[in-house]
Amino acid sequence: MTAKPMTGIRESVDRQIGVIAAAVKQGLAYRFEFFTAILGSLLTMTLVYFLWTAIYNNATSMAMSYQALITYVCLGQAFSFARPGQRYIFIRIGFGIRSGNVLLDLVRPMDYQLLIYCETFGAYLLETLLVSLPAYVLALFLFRINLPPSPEAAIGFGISILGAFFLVSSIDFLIGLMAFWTMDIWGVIWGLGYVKIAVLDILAGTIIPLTLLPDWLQAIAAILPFRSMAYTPLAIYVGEITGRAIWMNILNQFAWGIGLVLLTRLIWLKARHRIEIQGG
Amino acid sequence: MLYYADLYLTYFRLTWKARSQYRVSFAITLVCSIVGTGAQLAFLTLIFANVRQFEGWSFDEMLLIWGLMVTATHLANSLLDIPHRISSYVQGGNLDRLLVRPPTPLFQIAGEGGITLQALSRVMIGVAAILTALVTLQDKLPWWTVFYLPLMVISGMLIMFSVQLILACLTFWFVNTFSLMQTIGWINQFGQYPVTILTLPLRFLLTWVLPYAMMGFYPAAFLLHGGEYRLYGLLAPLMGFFLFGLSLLVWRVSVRRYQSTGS
Amino acid sequence: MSASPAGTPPAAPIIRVTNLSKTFRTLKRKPGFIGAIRNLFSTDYEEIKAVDHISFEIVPGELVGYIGPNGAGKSTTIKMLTGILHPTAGEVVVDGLVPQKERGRNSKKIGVVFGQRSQLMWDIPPGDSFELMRKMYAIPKARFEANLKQFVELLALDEFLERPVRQLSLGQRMRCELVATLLHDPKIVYLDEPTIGMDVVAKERIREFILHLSQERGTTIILTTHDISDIERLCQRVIIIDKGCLIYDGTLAEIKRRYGRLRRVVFSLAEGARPGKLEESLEQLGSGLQAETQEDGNIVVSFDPQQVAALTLTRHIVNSYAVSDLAVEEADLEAIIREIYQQGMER
Repeated sequence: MTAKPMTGIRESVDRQIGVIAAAVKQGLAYRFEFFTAILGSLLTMTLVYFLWTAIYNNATSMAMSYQALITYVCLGQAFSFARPGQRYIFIRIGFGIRSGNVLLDLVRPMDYQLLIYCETFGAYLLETLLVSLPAYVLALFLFRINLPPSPEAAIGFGISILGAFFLVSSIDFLIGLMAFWTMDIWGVIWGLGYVKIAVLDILAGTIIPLTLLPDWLQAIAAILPFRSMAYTPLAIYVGEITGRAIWMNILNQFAWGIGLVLLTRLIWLKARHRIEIQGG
Repeated sequence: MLYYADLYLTYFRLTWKARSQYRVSFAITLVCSIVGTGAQLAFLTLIFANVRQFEGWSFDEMLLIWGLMVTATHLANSLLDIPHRISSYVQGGNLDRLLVRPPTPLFQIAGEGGITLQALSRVMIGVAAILTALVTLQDKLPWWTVFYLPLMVISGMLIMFSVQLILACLTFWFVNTFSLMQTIGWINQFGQYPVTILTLPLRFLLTWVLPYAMMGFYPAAFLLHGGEYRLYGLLAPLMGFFLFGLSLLVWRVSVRRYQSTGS
Repeated sequence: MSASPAGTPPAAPIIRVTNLSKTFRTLKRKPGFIGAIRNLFSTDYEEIKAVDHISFEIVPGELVGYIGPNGAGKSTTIKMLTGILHPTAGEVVVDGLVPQKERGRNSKKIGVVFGQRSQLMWDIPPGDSFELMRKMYAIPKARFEANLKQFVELLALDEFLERPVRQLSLGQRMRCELVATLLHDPKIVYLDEPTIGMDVVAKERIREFILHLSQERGTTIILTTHDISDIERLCQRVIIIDKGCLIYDGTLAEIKRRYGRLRRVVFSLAEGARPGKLEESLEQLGSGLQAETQEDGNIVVSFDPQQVAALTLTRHIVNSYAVSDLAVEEADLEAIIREIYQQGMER
């Protein structure tokens, strides 16, 4: 009797890996896109480096050391927190609905939400390995950003990044779900996508470290979940969060993550009922 | 000429009619555009929470530059909203539909895009920023600002449009140009900072290759600090019109190539 | 029909295609994961001849079916005729113009309906799109209104003329597409799969309209379709293209005469019976017999009545096997075309 659930899980994991692998291959399919993504990432990171160096040089006083600042922003740029390249989910869902392909996805043995997450993870994996890591290496050698202050920080960073990915994907998925309710898919999704990025920019610490915000803004940012999407992993790496606080923050991250996943689950179930197909 | 003007008006009327059906999403996207632009302004403000003077530039001076950038950029995005959409036309086979009709395809793409109110709202924010800055800076500005500014706005719009169009044409050669368009769109924001913060190669990039600095920084520098920036300041307006012509040429060549190789 | 009366010289062709060719270059893609990475750096191209030295002429007023299997080069040819693509070699002249050189002027004389893609604006009523056409083709107001009135009547559009296009059924939408294409009185109309996906009633309506177009207005029509009944109903003349080459250019009647001689015997066997040695036993009867087992279990034998009499064949089958049901049929156009697609033609 215990054999069945085990093979069920095995199958499910197999399927997930299959979807992830397919997403990775898909990402490699366009060579121009691939190379410009890497070059673009290096270029944007370099520009960010110069901007913040200038800000630091002009600052009367700063709450962060130069090294910490540079490490923070370069890392943030390298790991695509501040780059608006994560439109993947929007495109996937929006297009699926527009063309009616979403029906195909729904008929598959795999849960739709899980499917989208896996595909996104595949794309993310590819981007991290082939775009973020080269940028990171460049920043290490060219801009002399810091290495993590301790193995604890390094591990914490790794886990926290995954948590951040998870959180951001959930929000993206949530926005994408809006497509199931509105006829004007592109307008709403793009629009909300912009809001997401704008909000993230400030409150998540993607383009400006939270430490540098005025106190009242920092207080607001502290209670919102957005900080876990960028600030937490970056701060762990840079050493702003140390020791036990690292794991506390990660716990916080995952708590919000689970909460968000539950929320998206609820809304997804409602969306499934609400299938209004356009096209054809 | 009259033919094209009349046709454009018809396009505008119809796209407006089509879009106005979606009131809710319209409201949402409008709010989103404003929030988006607001966040940019917030960033500028936050920088100045930490600094007094940025590379010798005061907040109001930076505000002027920012306003110029935003106005020109989003004018381009609203009136000439073509480059982003080219990829979908080319890859979706929709270009064929346009090629069998009399008007020139680029015009049709512009027409079908209509004028987006979202981008226009950002333009208004940009203009507001310029005016605000002008009030504070009026003593420092020469008399011919009133001519130079509108000229630069138009030229800046043309620069933005042209740069994007030229690079968007790469979709004729490479199917997926997503990252490219994202990146050059992102780099746009660096036209608002003094190029002095960058090393020479990057300065060159932002002045001559992706001349975003010619949209915001150099014109403002010319207005406020004259002298050393005279060359750039006078060149900037010319650049807009030159690049516009160049972009149209690149477009024609690209379409021709499409017709030879079938994309 | 718009054939010229006896004694008059043949009309000058409105479309002349001479030795038209089109070659494409594509990147050779390697399979698998490693292949995906290698693709990033490869420069391996291969050449595909989509259209290979095709020549034909079409006179004004003809209704021509331009057909072939998928990937035969049909849409590529049409794209060259309409000015979308430039030929690699050869010549295209449409009503005195070379589409490649004078795209704009050529566009004013033609109309194109893409079966799969809509040219109407999606969120507003078709009437608005028609208005756009009026401006775009600079149609004089009187002419526009006369045409519109006639088309609305012929196609019964007024029921839904005020509804946004996205709310229309496929059949309704296609009718509007046709109108949009015809408002400017094009001399030549290219129809790409106009009846695809429609129910029989909708199809018939479209076909009647196309016939009217050809007969009453004398419009030259080139029709691309996979629907054989479309061809049967509409086309006097058929051009068949396969693998880029022209394999037939003539009337429908001629095809039927040459290949329609084939007839078929369709039979099924009783439960448990097997058609042992069918091929060999058929060979004894005569040549040109072909047997095929279909998915539903029926066996089809194609034969040429001039070689083997229907009665002889039928008697043989009934005597040799435990037949439970049997019918003798005319070869239908679809079978003929399928055969032509599959085997090319004896030239």
